[in-house]
Amino acid sequence: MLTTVERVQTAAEKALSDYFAGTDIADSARGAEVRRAAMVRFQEQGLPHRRIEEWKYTDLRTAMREAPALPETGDALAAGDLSAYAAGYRAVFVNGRLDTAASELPEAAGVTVTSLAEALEADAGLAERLDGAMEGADSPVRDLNTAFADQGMVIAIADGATLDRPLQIIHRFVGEAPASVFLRHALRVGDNATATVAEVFEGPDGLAYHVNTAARIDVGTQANVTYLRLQADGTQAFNLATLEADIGAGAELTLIAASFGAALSRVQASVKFSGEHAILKHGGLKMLRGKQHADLTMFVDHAVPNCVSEELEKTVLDDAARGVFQGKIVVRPDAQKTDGRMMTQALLLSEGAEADNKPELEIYADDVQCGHGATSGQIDETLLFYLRSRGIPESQARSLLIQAFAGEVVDEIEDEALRGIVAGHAARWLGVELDV
Amino acid sequence: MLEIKNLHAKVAEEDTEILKGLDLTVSAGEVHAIMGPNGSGKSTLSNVLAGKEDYEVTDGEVLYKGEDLLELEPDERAAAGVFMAFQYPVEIPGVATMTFLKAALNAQRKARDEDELSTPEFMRLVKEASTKLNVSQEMLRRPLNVGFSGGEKKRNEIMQMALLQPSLCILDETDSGLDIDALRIVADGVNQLRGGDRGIVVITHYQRLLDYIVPDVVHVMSRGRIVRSGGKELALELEKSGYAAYSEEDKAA
Amino acid sequence: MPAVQETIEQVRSIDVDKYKYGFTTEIETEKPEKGLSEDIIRYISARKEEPEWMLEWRLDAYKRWLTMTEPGWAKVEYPKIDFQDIYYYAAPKGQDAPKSLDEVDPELLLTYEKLGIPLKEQEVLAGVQGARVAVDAVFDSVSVVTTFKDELAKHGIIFCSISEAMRDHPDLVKKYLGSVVPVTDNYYATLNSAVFSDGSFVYIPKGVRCPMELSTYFRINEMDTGQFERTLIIADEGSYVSYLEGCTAPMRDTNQLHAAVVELIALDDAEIKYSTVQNWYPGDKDGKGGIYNFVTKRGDCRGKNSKISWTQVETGSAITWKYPSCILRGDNSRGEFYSIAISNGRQQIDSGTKMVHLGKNTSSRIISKGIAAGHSDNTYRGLVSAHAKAANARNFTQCDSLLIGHKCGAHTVPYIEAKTATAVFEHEATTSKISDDQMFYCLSRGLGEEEAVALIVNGFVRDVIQHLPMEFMVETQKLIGISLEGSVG
Repeated sequence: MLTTVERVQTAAEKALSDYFAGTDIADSARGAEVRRAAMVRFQEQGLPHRRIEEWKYTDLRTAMREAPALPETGDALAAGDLSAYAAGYRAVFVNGRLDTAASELPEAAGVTVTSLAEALEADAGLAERLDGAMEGADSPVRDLNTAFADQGMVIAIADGATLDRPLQIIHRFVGEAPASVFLRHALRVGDNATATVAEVFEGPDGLAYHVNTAARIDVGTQANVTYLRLQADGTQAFNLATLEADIGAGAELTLIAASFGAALSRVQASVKFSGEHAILKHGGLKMLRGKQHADLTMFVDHAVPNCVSEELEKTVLDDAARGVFQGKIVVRPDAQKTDGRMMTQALLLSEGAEADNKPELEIYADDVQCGHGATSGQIDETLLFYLRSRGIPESQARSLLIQAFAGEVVDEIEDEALRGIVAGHAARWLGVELDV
Repeated sequence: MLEIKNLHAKVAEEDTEILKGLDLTVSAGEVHAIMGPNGSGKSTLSNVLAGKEDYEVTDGEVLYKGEDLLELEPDERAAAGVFMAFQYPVEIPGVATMTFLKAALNAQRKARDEDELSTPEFMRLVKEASTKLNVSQEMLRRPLNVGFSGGEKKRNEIMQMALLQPSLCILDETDSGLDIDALRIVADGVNQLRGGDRGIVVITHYQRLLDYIVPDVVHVMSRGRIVRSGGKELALELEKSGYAAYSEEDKAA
Repeated sequence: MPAVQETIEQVRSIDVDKYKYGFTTEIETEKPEKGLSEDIIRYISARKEEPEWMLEWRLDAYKRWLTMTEPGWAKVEYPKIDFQDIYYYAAPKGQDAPKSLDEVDPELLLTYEKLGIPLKEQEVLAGVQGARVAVDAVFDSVSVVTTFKDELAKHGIIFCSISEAMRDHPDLVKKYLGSVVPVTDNYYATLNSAVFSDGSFVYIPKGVRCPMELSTYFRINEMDTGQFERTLIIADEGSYVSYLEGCTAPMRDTNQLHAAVVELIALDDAEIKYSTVQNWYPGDKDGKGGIYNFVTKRGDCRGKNSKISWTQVETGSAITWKYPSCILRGDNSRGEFYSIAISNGRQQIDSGTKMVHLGKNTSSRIISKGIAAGHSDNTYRGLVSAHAKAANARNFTQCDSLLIGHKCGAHTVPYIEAKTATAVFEHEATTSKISDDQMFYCLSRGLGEEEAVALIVNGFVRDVIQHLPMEFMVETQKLIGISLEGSVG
C-alpha cells in the first residue's frame, strides 16, 4: 500500500539547495560532513509547514516564497551609525560578515571573544556542542543554519570572571540587494561568572533579506547570564532564529526576546536545566502591525529537581498582525519540586489582528507547582476611563496603557542602556516620546 | 457652579431608570453632602457626572459653569476642572504613580493652553500634595494603586485632587473601607481644599465622614431623586432615624 | 456531608475485583464474519432494513475511510489496530424489535439489573429505581429496549433507536445526520459513518421542556466486537433536554474498539445538557485488555441564544480519545464543558474540548479536572477559537491537574486562537499534587490513606460534579474512590 511520494520542492527550497551546491564547503571551518548531512535533512523535510505541529501557526513553506542568494563576497559595506550602542562592547556583522573596524570587543582577563572559525580550530569540543540539537530546538531552519553558517562569534567567560559591560552582537543589513545571511554564535559562561550579551537585528524597510541565526548558550554553575534578543529588522525581512541554552546548578539565566520588525520572524528556543536550584526567567515582547507575523516557540526542559522557570510573554498587535506564542514546560520524572510558571498575554488593538497561544504543560513528577495562564483581549476600558477622568486624552491614555503592558517585560532588562534601547523601540512603535 | 435639572438616567442596554428627575444646585465655594441608602442612585449619579459610557442620560441636563457637562468627554471634563474621587480606584499595573500624575497634570495644562511643568516644579507640587496626604515616596514609585491598601488608594485619590486643584470635586463614598485614622487624613486633605470658588460634593452612605467634612447643605437621595434638603443637622437626624422613613415617604408620594 | 460519607464507605467496601461491571452475559448472538468490507456494510444496512440512501451514505463513507490514515497527534500509544480482526456487528438473537419488555430476553434484563439500569417503567414510576429516567439500552450493536416512549410521545418527543428513526422519521434523520460531524470529519468518525450499528435518536419539538432525563446505556458484551454507535439529538426552537450516557463492558484480555459519533443540534433558544459517565473496562493493572474509546462528540449551537453543555466523567477505557465540542454558530449562543478525567493503572486519556466561536456575543466556559495515578498518562487538549466575525466572544478556561504518585503524567495542551480584537479569552491551568499538609490533616483525623485521597480528590473535582444530574453525582463520587484504588503506596 505504501507508495513513496516525491515531495515537490518549492522555489525557495530549490534555491537553497542550489546555493548550497554552489558553496565551497570543503575548506570551511565547520566539518564538511556535518554541513552536508544537515543539507540532506533539510532537503528531505523541506521548509516546515502547518501540518507539522510545532509549525501549526507559522507555515514557513507557504510564507517563504523565495530565498535570496548568499551575500556577495566583494568589498565590505559600511556599517553606518552605531552610536546607539556606544555603551557596551560591539561585534558588528554587516550582511553576515564581521566588521572589525566597527566592532569593539572586550579584552579583559578571562574573557575570550573569537570568530567561529578560530574557535572551532582552538576548541575541539565546540563543534560537537554546536552540531547536535537540543530537544525542542531541532528543525529544518536549524539544519539550514548548520549547512550554511560558517561565521559567528564565540564568547567564553572563564570561571569567576565578569564581563564588565554588555556585549552587543549587532546584525545589520545594509545596501539594496537582498541576501540570505546565516550565523552561528556560542556563549559559554563559566562557573560563578557573569555576563550580559545582546543580539541586535536591524535592516532597511522594504528589503526582503533573510537572517537565520543559531546560538548556543552554556551557563556554568552559579553563573549569572542575561541574554537579550532585540529584533528590529526591516519590514520585509525574514528573521529565523534557534536558541539553545543549558543552565548549570544554582545558575540564573534571564532570556529576553523583543520583536518589533520583520515581515516574518520566529524564535525557537530550547532551555534545559542540567543542574539543580537554577532559575530561568524569560520575558518576551512583540509589538507588531501591518501584516507582520512573529512567533516565539519555547521549550523548557526541567530535567532535574528544584529548578524554577518563569515565562512572561506580552504581545501587542495592530492592523492585521499576527502573534504566535507556543510554550512548553516539560517536567521529567525526577524533577521533583519544580516550580514552572508561564503567562502569555495578548493585546489586540485592531479588528484584523490575530493572537495564537499554545501554552503547554507536560508533567511526569508529582511534587511540583506548575501553571500557565493565557489572556487575550482589548485595552481594559475601566483603566482607560480612569486615566481619562484625570484629564489624559484617549489616545495618550491608550499609549500609556500599552507602554505599561510592554513595560513589564522591558523592566526585566537589568542593564540600563539596553533597557533604554528596547524601551525606545517600544516608544517609537507607539509614536510617543519616551518619558525618561 | 453645578446645576442638575430633572436628570433621568439608566444603565445603557437596560430598561430600568435609576435617576428619575434629580435636581441639584451647588454654588461656588459650597460643600454639599448627598446621603442615601443603597440603591438610591448615588453611584449612578457619580458615574454620570464622571462620564462613564455604560450609563445613558435619557432626560434632563447638567450644567457646569453654565456649560453642558454631558457633552464633554471624560478627559475634557477633567481639564475643565471636574474631579471625581472614585469609590473603587482601579489598579494600573506597569504605570508608576509618578508617571501617571505627571501625564495627568500636563495633559490638563495642555488642554487649558498652559505650559507643561518643568520636572522640578512638578516634583515640588507632588511633594506638597503627597506630604499633606501622608503618601510616601515609595508609594509614588509603585504602579498606580497596585497592591495599595483600601486606605492608601483613597489617600492617593485625594492627593491627586490636591495636586490637580479642580474647581468641582465629587467624592464618591470616599469614606468606605477607611479606618478612623485614614478617615482623618482624607478629611483633612479635603478640608484644606475648601474655600474660594471650589465646589465640593460628598456622596456618602454614612454620617461619619460629615463629622470631619462639615457640609453646608445636606441632601437626602431616595429612588433616584433628591427628596429632602437641609443644613448639616439633617445628617445627624438621619444618623438617628435611618433611611427607612425616606423610602416610606417616597412610596407614599 | 452525606456524599463524602458515602465515598468513604465506598472506598472501605472495595473488594479485590475493582471493576464491578466486568461480568459477561451468556446469550446467543448473531454475528457475521470478522472484518470490514463493502459486504459487511451491506449486511448491516440490510439487517436494519435501511432505506437505499442510507446504504449509499455508508458506502461513500467507507470509500473515504479507505483513503484516510489514523491520527497520530494525540498523546496516546497503542499497537496498530487490525481493522480486519473485529466483528462489526453483533446482536442478541431474536432481539430485533421487541415491542415491550416482556419480549426481551430475560438474560438481557438481568444484565441491566446487575448494572443498575432501570428498564422496568412500573418500578421506576413506583420509585423503586429512584429518579424517573427514560432509557435506551444498547447491547453490542443493537438497541434492545427504549423505555417511556409512549409517555414521551404525548409531548411530541421522539426517543428511539436510530435504526427506528431511520425507518419512522427519515426526513429528520436525513436533514440532521452528518450535519455536525461530516462523514469525512476524522478517521474514526468516517469509520463510524460506514459501519454504525445503533444508537439513540432524540427530537424535542418546539417549546417543549422534556419532562424527564433521557439516557442511553451502552454495553459491549461480545468478544472482539467493535461498538460503533451513533447518537443524534435535535432540540428544536425553545426546547430543553437533559441527556445521560453510561457505558460498561466485560473484562477481557483483548482490546476492543468503541468508535462512536454523537451529534447535537440546538436551534434558536434551545438547550441541551449532555452528561456522560464513561466507565468502559480500563484493562487490568498491567495494561492488558480494555476498551479503545475513540469518540467524536460535537454539538452545534445552530440557533441564536442556544446552549449546549457537556459534562463528562471519564474513568474507564484503556485509551480515551475524545473531545466533546461546541460550534457556537448562533448569535449569543453558549457552550460549556465540564470534565473529570481520572486515569490509573496503564490508562491513557487524551481528552478535552473545542469551543469554536463563530457567532456574535458567544460565550464558552471550560472546567477540566484531570487526575493521574499509577502509570497512567492524562492529557487535556482543548481549542478555543474566535473567528473574525465572532465579535465579543468570551471564554473562560480553568484546567487543573492532580498527580498521585510519580510514575504518571499529567499534560495540558491548550490552543487559544483569537482572530478578533473584541474576543476576551482567559485561560488558567495548574498542576499540583495532593499536599502533604492536606494528607496529614486527614490522617490525623483518622482517615486511611486511600480514604483521604478519595476525599481530597472529591473536593478537587467539586466544581464539575455539581454540574452533573443528581443520580450521576452519587455514582461519580463512588467511581472516584474505586478508580483510584491502589494509587497510594
